[in-house]
Amino acid sequence: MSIKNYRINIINNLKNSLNEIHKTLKISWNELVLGRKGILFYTLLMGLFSFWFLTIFNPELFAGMEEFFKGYPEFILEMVGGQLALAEFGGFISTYIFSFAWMYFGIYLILRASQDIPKEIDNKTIDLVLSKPIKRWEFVLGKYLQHVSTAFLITSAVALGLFIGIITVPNINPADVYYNELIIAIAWLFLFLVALVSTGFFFSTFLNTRLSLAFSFGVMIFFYALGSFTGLMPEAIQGIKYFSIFYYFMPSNMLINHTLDFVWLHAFVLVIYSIIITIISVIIFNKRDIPV
Amino acid sequence: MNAIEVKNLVKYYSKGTVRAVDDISFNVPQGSRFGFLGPNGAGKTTTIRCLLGLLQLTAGEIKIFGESIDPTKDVSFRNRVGYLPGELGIYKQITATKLIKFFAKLYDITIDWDFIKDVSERLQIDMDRKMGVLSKGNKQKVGVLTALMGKFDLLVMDEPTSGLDPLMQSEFYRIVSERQKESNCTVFVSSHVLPEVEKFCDTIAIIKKGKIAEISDVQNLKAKSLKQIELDFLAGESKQEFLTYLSSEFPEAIVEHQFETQLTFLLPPDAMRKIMSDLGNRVWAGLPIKDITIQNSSLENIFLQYYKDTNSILNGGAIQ
Repeated sequence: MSIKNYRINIINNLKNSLNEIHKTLKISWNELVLGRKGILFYTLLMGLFSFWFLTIFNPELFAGMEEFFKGYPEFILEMVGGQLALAEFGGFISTYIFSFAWMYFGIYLILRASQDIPKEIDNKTIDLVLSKPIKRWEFVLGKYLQHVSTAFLITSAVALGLFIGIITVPNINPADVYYNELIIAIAWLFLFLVALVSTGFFFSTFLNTRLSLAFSFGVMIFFYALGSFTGLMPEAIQGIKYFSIFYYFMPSNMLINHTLDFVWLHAFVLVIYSIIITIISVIIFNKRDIPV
Repeated sequence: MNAIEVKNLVKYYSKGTVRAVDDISFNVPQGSRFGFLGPNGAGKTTTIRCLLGLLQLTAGEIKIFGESIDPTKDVSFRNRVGYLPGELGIYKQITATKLIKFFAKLYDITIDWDFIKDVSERLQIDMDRKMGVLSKGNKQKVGVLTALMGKFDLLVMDEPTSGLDPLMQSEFYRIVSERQKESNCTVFVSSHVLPEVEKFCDTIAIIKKGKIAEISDVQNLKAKSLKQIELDFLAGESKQEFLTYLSSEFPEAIVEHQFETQLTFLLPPDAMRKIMSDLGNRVWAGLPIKDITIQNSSLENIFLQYYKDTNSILNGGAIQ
């Protein structure tokens, strides 16, 4: 092959790749536009919710509550990351926002992701889209990206709510806030939400509406139990906690003890988990039939 | 050249327990109007979905425009194909204009917006109303529009006129005919509306229980298929006697309709000579026949011929 042909091949391949990325983004954008009202409403609500939580922060009041909670059994504390420092800003947001992030933000995302492809099949809209010159992986990634974008929007709204709260709530002293840790925790939250989205989306690539929902929620609860209550289990089997994505999102240690131990490793595990499960989703969807 | 070549196509569901399409082969010549007929569950839609890559093939080969392809992986051929699914699903939240714009971005071709405007006007589509509020017929029109939005070389349409009123049905066929004259595109239509297919298509394939029962030129098929004979007797007894004669001499005859002194039945062409001779020479309950009309079968009768159990028809009287 001459150098000229080689160059032409490279240029054509590049053009094809750009075209494929363009189509993937188009599908993603179309999905976001179709679901924009719900997404924007929920995003706005979660931003306000995060802000509102900061307005109830009162170091004196929560110091008392911390004493009260310390009398609780250990497994209750495990639910909120195993550590308490409610009178401090970091401890407060760790317990009240990040520990329950799966509930506040995750359920909505997992609900949307798990219903995505089955709904498209039920509504028969998938036939028209997949009969166009797009590859199955472009379709799946386009769909997946809209959920990642939604997770990003929600995380951004939460971040905005928190930062506005830091500036405006009288009980919070902005000088006491560890901003680096807060930014890392928010980015970590995003990765955790993406991992949840990936799980729900994985089931949506091969199950019907009901089963996909049941499996997604079932697995989420199972992961939560594995990641949060393994301390109660016999020591010999405590290693199963490593199979839960919840284990890899526990910012309490960072926000309370101000240490970055394991943060990058755990964030990396979440990224790898999301990538692997998305690749598996694409492979499964490539091989499946689109039923009538 | 053939626009579509299907060779030994097999599609099984449920690990082989359901044989939706069972080793079918057919060619659709470029520029032809190909009708794909069959009742519900015969395998029409499965075949179409295999062609479009919505289903994985269990076995077989598909060539589109002469190129052997795996329709689930090779997608560039879809730039030349307009498709209207049998069960149309459209995004309720957006308008037809937005839908067309979205689909246009998924194609690697130039979209003929003037043509879209023209078709939307002729089909009386409100392009700026959200599709969720459109009636079934109007949604179908939008579906038709999406199948015609490019200058495609192949149009694959599954029940294209479903939900359209008779005026729109004829307008639809007029548009497709014009499009075909202009671009010599191939039209592959699956339909239950047999008179429509008879009028529009030049070649038809009949699929029965996942297998091709017949592929033929419509005119040839009609010529070699059953003849429809309508008899009017002078008395009911004459008709009864004739029915006894018919069941003993022509067990393959299919009684279509009988009422008082009238009888309509179908016979194969090779039986015509004998029955015409008997009708001319014999009397029935002592009376001659009042009137005889013979015509070629309609496509509907031909279709029924492939689907009815002919042995039971004479015993049961008129067929359903």
